[in-house]
Amino acid sequence: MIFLSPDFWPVWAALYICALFFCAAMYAHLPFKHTDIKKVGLISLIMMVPFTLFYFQLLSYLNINFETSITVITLLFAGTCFSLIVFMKLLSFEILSKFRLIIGLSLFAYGYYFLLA
Amino acid sequence: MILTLLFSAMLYLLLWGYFILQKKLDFNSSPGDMEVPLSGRPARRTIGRVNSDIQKCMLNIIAGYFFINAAFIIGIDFTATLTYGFIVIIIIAVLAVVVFGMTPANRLLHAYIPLGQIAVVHFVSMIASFSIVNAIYNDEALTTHIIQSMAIMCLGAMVAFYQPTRAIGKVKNRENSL
Repeated sequence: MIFLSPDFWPVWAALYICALFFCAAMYAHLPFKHTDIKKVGLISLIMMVPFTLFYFQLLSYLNINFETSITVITLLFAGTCFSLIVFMKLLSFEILSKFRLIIGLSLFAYGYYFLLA
Repeated sequence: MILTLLFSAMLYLLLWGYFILQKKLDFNSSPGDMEVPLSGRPARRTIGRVNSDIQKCMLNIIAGYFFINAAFIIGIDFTATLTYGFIVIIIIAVLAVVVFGMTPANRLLHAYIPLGQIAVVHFVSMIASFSIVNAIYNDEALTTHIIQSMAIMCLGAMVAFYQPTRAIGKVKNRENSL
């Protein structure tokens, strides 16, 4: 699969940038519980503009030039978003069951690799 | 095609089982009962309200993803006929409305479940709704390879953030003695 090639790093970088904007729109407001919900919604709304610009470009580029199916790209994107949340949780040193985390993340990584291989 | 729709529906319904197992959703107790005192949640609500809030938020999230996925899938079909900028503006408008509507649901869900589990809800909703929209619009069924990888990824995500609800022991004991 082309995605596992090292020359494909710009696509991965673009995927992570999209995921970053998407996660920022979806989850970044959660710690700000006392901020007005309309203000928070407007900030999320604004975050969707760069996300759409990057993601739609990437989607059409991969779909047209490499004939990658939209299903694979969407699954990759969903996995990338989830992996960003995992990084965020690990960086925040929140107490989670290490055993479950390792088993779960191994399964997740295997599923992700299985999709690409 | 039917297998794809069934698989997606089952994947999404698994979320209910996931939250029942963790006792976030409680259908055994009476809806009028108060929830047990929980750490980080000083205000106590009735079990009925907790159940309805979590379910409403999950339905709101999947409804939002239906629109997001439909916007991208339909948008990519028109890249050959319409100008790029016009399609992007339409998609931005759809996503803006959806995300603006999803924000309160995310915030309400965060009152009951942690961020990791919200990410699990989003992940499962995103892929389940995508499979359904793709199957209906493009008439494209999921291959066995993709079904397997989706199932493994969802299972892994659910296991990683599995956190059963634990009541605060001291407060519970004090309440029992009163």
